[in-house]
Amino acid sequence: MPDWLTHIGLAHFVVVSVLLFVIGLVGVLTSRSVVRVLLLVELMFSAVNLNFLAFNNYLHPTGILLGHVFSIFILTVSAAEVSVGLAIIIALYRARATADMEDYNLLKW
Amino acid sequence: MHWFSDVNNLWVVPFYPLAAFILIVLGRAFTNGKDLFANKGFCAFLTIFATVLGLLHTVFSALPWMFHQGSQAVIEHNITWLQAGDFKLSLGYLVDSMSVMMLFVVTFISLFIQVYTHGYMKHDDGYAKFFSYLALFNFSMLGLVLSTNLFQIYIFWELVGVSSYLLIGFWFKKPSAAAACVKAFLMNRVGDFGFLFGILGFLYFTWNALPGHENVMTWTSYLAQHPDHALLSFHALPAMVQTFATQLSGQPVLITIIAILLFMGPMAKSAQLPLHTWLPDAMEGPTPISALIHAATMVAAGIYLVGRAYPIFQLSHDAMMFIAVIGTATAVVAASIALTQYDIKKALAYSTMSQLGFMMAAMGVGAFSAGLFHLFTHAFFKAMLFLCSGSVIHACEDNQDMRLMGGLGRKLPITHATYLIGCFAISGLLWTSGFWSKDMILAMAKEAPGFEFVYWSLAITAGVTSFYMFRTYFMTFWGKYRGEGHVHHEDSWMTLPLVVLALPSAFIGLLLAGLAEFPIPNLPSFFQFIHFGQAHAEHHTFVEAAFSGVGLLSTIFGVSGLALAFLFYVVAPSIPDAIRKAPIASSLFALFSRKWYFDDLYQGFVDKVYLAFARGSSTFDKEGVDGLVNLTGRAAMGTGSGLRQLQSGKLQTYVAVMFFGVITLTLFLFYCLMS
Amino acid sequence: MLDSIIFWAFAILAVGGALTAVCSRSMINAALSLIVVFMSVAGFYLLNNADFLAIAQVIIYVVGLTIMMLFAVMFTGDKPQFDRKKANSALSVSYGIVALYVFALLLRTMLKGFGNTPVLPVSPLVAAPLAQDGSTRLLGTLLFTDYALPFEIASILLLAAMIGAIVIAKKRFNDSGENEIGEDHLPIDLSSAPKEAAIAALREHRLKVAASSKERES
Repeated sequence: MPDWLTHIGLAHFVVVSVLLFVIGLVGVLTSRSVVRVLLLVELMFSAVNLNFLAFNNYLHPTGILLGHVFSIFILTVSAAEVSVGLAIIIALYRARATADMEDYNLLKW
Repeated sequence: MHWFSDVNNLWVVPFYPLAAFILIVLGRAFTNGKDLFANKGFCAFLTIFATVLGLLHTVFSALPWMFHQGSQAVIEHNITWLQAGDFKLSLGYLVDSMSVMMLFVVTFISLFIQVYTHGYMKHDDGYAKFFSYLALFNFSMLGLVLSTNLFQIYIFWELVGVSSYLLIGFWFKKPSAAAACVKAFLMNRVGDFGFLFGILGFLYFTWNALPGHENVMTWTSYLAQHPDHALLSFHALPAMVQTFATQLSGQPVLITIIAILLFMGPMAKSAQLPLHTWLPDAMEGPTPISALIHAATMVAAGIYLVGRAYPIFQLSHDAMMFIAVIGTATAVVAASIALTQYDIKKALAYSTMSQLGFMMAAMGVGAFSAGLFHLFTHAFFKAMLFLCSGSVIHACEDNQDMRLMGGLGRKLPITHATYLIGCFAISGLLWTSGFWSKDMILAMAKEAPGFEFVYWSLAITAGVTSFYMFRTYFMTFWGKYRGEGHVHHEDSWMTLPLVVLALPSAFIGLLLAGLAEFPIPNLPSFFQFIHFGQAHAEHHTFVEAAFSGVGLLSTIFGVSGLALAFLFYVVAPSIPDAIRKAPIASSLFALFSRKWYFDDLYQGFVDKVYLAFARGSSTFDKEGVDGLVNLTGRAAMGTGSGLRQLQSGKLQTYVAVMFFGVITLTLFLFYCLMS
Repeated sequence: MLDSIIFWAFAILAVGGALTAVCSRSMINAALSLIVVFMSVAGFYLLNNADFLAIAQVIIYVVGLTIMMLFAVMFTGDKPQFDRKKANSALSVSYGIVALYVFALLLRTMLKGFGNTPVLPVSPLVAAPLAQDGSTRLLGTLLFTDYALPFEIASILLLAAMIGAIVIAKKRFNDSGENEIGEDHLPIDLSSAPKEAAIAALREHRLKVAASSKERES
């Protein structure tokens, strides 16, 4: 069995976090539903949190929890942001009766 | 009276007619041509009074001064017009023998022409306007005559051109007149272009010392020594010409080129050969101005300039030869064309051109004073001839064609007599003034080495002149009246100037020759009067010239011309028709009557070359230059509409771009910091 | 050995769930698959000794967030013709390339300074003090001493977000007491009508709203 399968290290977590981040990014860029966009933004936040914690664990396995603190704040801010985002979606839907990203193009030239 | 006899007040002379001009123009503008200014006599009075003042001033101050001081005396005063460092343009007045002579000619002749105009233009609506233009012309011409330097003379040169334009195009509603005045002005502009380049060329080579000739006198050092003199002043020319020659000693071709460029001004103004076609067309203007401008004064300005700038021309033998050739060619060609003209004014115009050719040839040959003398006498008799023709035209109810005239001798006696005197004068017969001046030219041409062709051409042309002038005389005044309608009587306003001008035409030559031969003490002879700047010694006196080979030969030619004219037009009027139809003669006739195809040549040039070039450059301007400008506009617009596509309005595009940019930037900085 | 099995299981679940969230046509499916993702990520947190954060993740994301998303989906309708852009292959390819680029760049950067395949110096489940007491006490201490200021500011941020969300999503009434958009006046009472009639009424109502909003736009 190759080493990387049995011995889990920092790299594995980093790879997973980056993968999740990129999947979230591509989804944000290509999805047509505005709710899905918000959802995937949250996915990106989670991936980033994972990244912080993995590094924190690797660098300071005993006691210095800087990464955790950062993660807490990211969590907090993302929650706040998603609630406001949702409010915006509701307002948009009320005004335009559509949740299609293609229709939100008033700023087009 | 004290004011009038002070020579230092001569600078006022041009300002009298200028004041008249301004008064008439402003007066008519403010009163809308009513009240005082509607009275034609008043406008005439203003102008004539101004001219009288000028004449009085000249007669009472300049002539006595000249006689007292002798012919080498000079008064020059300048004021600085604009100055930039060392470079200084000045305006001023120069009183010496040449300018006094011209002052006298201009004021005297224009006075009597203005009197004549009252009779001629009495029934014309634009009477006041005409007198204002006459005043403007007077101002320009007098200013030209009193100029101290080449810049000032250029200014007045242009002013004279403008006055001529205004006067030729006086009856501007007639299309031919409108075309003629533009033609005159444009052709003069061509000449002035060369003139300006000549001035600038001369200035360039005398302004700074070129390497290798450090110790020549430049204008800066000259003006430092004589601060009250002008840049390019005529007075300084003899000295500065040395500098000019020295600096260009390695390239004499440049001297010739600059001299010929300078000559282009006189070439246009005095209607010399390539730039002459405007003069016959200028006969569209009323007869008084044909007399004043295109016979006596303005066209003489070219000769005057050559006289003033003579030291420059004398530097280059090639330039002098060029002037002589052009003058001779003009004389010959104009005489040949005059043979075929039926319009009396055109015939007189070509005779003017021919005589100007005589004068210019004289200048080219080196006979400086002979040219000026002929200018002097020609002014009088040519003005008189034109005024006579005007009287004839007036009597025949504006008919100018000689084929419809005839037998007017009985009906217009004074005109007849004065015209006859004029013909004798221009043919140089009977020892009238024309004889003396023309023969002086012929004699000096014969003496000058290398210019014999000039002598023979001019002598034969003199004979031709006599023939065609007497042709016009016989056709107009002898025989039976061939026209229709009634012949009016002579207007007395018109005949007075004729009589007055007849006297100098007849006698001035004799008077001055007599003075030369039998000098009255304290009254220097006319030779000395116009001896200004002449380098050669003049061996001949008038009397020798009158009766020796040259004079005799020219008298013979003149008499034979008269006889031939008598034969053709009085005795056997069918001969000219027969000659016209003969094989060689008919083609010659065609050549002469089509004015040697110069007009056709120029028209073809304008049509094919110039207009094509103009159209080409217009297209280049519209498509090329404008296209380039529009291209920048369109490029901006295109870039804008291209870049505009970035603003798709879609949030996700913005997110992508932003994300991409931030990540790349951060990583870039990160790598930079790491390494 | 156990931790690697756990890790790989969670990894597959996470990535699979993420892909499902991106690619599924139905929004409900997307929201539900994200539950799976968030749970796996919580599992990852546990693998990294972040026990408090794992629970926090479950509470906030899995529970709170997912319910909010489901609410949003229900509000805006789960229209099946959404998603999947038709035939814009150029855009898809470019997005794929972008994704690859970002992936590679991030990976390389983060791992560059740490060798090729680093191995944890100490197995995560064996790290002594943390494994025994858990990170909660330590984290709490930090939050209330060293990072008290950011903590307070975060709480103000949450307050502001709450107020903001309420203000933005508020219904607006005009002067006569009617709802500005008239959206809530359904012709039938949804709770008491039979199912087909309710669905039909709702559909009709939606179309009418869409038509009137388009009219307002143009």
